[in-house]
Amino acid sequence: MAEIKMIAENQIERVNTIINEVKHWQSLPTKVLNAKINKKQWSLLQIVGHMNAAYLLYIKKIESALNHLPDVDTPLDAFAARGFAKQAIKSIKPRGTVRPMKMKTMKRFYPDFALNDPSDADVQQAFTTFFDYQDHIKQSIITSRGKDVKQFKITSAIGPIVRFYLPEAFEFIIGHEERHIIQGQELLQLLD
Amino acid sequence: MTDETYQQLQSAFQYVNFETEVDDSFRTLWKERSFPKNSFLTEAGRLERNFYFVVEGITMGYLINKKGEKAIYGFAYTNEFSGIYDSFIQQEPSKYFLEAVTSCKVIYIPYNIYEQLFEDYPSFNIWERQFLRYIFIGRANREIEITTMTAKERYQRFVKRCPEVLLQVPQKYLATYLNMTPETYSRLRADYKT
Repeated sequence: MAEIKMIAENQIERVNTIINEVKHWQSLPTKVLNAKINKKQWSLLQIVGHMNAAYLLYIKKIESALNHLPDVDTPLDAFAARGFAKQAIKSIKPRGTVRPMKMKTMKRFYPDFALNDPSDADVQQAFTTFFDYQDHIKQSIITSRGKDVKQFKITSAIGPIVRFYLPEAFEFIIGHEERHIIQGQELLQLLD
Repeated sequence: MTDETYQQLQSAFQYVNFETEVDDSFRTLWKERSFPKNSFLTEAGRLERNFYFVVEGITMGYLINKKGEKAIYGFAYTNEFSGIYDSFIQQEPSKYFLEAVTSCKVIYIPYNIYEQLFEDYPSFNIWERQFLRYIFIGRANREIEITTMTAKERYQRFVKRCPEVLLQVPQKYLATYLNMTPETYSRLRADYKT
């Protein structure tokens, strides 16, 4: 299997691209944010809600890892994913604009129930939370550049069999978000 | 801003007549900020909001290529201007990172104030023309170095034109900037010393 090489700067750049896209979504009318192609598919707002629900499960794990890791003077150039972590990243990360394989969402990753029939406050809250979480992951990536990330693993939110070093966790989370950004972009094209 | 910092800034703005044209309000336009070593002044994917002047330290501009490697295009050190200029001027997201290679102290102004300088102080137009010429000639020379010169020639030219302070930059970054492997850089450095 080809190597998956992770670089903090590349991850930061991709988070910024995600932020820019979701800022565009935020500027759309509420009617568009709630629109669906069919009952089974999510709206843009529910996609945002799902990304929030998924990231929430990582916040404490990431913070705990950063607290445990010893400092280093020079950031790592790159980190190579291995084992189950590598397979998990590969299965979720889009290849260009193609999502590798569709997955059924586990209940704990469902978007907030309120986003089925959101008020204006729910809409604002979903975006505010999203941008707070993006800021959190970006600051965590930046902090991790000064840490010896090979010293500690965290359990993934998908189950205990997959455990991540921090760069792997970031890659998995960003890959997951990129996947849903593509889903949102496809939805917007269909709504056009 | 201290008097000393203001003098540094004045010296950098060649062709601007600070005695007759620029009033005290100019000094108040600039804000100060410190960046720890290895922190980012600007991230790829975000807008470059500021035009920086390096009071102390070294900044490094680079992008991440498709192989996931740093492609370093340049450094700015004490008493030089810094920033991702194309993003700043076009007000579009940056393709580059700007990183503090050492701990840095900078002063900066945002885009709207930078643009206003040219309205309020006409001699800034002369400064900018010279500044852009300097950048253009620097880029052209680098193009020649990268495309036509051997690693040894590139290294020799680099040592002649660059200040000693650049020795604070990790060798792997200097090697990348000169488009050679760290091993080649190390060998050329050893040869040059003897």
